[in-house]
Amino acid sequence: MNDPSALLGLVVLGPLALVLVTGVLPERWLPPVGLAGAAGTSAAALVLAAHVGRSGPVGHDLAGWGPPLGIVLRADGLSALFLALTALVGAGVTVYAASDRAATGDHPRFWPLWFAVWAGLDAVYVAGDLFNTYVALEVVGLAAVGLVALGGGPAWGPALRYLFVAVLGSTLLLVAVALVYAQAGTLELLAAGERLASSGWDSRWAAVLVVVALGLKAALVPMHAWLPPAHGSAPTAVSAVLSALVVKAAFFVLVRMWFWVLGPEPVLAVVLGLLGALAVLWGGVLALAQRHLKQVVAYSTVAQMGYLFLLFPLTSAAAGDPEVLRAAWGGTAALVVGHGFAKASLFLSAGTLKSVYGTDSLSELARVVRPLPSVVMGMGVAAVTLAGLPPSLGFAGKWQLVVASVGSGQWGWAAVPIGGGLLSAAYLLKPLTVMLREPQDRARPLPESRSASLRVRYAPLLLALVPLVLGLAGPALPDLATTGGPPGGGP
Amino acid sequence: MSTLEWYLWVAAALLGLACVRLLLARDPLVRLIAINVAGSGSLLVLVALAARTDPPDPVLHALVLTGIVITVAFTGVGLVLLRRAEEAAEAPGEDGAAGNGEGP
Repeated sequence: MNDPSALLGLVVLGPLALVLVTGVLPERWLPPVGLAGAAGTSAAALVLAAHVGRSGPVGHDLAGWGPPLGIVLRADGLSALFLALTALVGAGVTVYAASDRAATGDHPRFWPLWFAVWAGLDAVYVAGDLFNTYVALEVVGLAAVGLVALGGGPAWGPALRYLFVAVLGSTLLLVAVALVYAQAGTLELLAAGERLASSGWDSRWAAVLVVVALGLKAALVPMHAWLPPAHGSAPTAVSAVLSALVVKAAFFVLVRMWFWVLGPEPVLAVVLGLLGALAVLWGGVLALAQRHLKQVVAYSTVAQMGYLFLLFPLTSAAAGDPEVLRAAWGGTAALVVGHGFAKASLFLSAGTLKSVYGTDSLSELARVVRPLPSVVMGMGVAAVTLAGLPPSLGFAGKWQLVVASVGSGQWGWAAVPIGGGLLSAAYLLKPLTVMLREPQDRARPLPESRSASLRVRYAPLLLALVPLVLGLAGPALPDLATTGGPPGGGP
Repeated sequence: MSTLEWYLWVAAALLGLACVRLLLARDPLVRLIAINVAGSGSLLVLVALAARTDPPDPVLHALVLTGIVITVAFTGVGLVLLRRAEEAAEAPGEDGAAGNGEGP
């Protein structure tokens, strides 16, 4: 396509059209149509991301209507990074979901809801104004609640709780958006940021609202308790999407509001960093204490999200040093992408084991003689990324965070990625040991209650291999993440 | 106290009280109503801010309309989930995990 700005509309309207199509098609058509739609959506997003990486940010007014009443779409490097992650992980999960009905909660409504989440995520990443950000985040939240509810009876309670948290977060975000509009007189992201910066407005209270609103949605400790039940009781493909992508959207909006609109707040940045560190520690300890595989993986999301919040204190202490800023942004980008792939892979692996052996209890799985080798291999490879071993993106990300904390003279923050790596190695090795050890009670082996197709057995492994390969990509990720970086806050 | 300040304080009080109730209540129906009240509080902030100029700001009114649509949407989803969760809790033995990996 010659005009990249048309792609901006396509990445949102494409999946939105698929919501309608998959909502009315007969059930047997859904997997092939879903696969084709996912391929098209992913291709559009990847072309757009590549274009942004090559020639810088793009913008587009839908139907020629500019602000304040029109919808402005804009994609910079950060949008491109999240769009590409959503495209690739989304495609992988779609392949898995199309191959195994049980992974979708055995329900045809999975498809429209999943494409609604996808459209919402893309809309969050290309939204050029604050109100569309709010609406897009709400679309993601409501569709995600619906997806959790596909898990059946045990999932309805957690889905309801997730709804309360998501809506409370949106409500607080709406108040913050109203405050920004009252002061800046515009909802357009860039213009609002410039006007707030020049007006010298004390944005502290708006920033607190934004942090609480998006901390709730991103499950930042101590606002994390809703996540493990919701992600743990959802169907397999849903857990993968929620943990890998949906919580990242809230983090993305927080980064946008913080660096582009409100401007960094040094004190609040330290608070965010400390909560992130607490998340790494507390999420890790709770993951270690779980007895069910899906719960281990869900608590690991709480822990892994913690690293991302180090971006705020590290950039605020950088004092404009371009090396430190680049390391902080690059490290965060690597961890976002690495966690996205590794977590999707782990949830698909856990779901495959649960569906094949009928349980995800670690003590029950210990009775399996030789669990699906490709799946266990996938878990191991994903664990390499999450624990931050070279050459994975997890290692590259944590390394750059350490570089940023040393470079800015804030040595304390370096302890978080290093200590957190040990903790994640511990809670991921525990289930892996169970899989690899010979069962002690040979008399009562756990049989396979159903078989898994080839695609189901290899999709998690393929997803897990991506961050391992991308770890060798060098400066591509930091370059992309900082294309069209924030005014004043970035390189 | 100006009229604008009065309405902003009312909105803040609604929002604050609703948040407290939402976090403390156990009954999901109470929580659903609390979050509706919180939503009204946030929309009242928008309406109050819109009335600062004469004629009122149409952009903020457009936001309030969208906000009301979203409120209706999540209240509907919430009520359905609430019914389902309570029915599942009232029917012991039927764990409701239809098709949760056990399907043929």
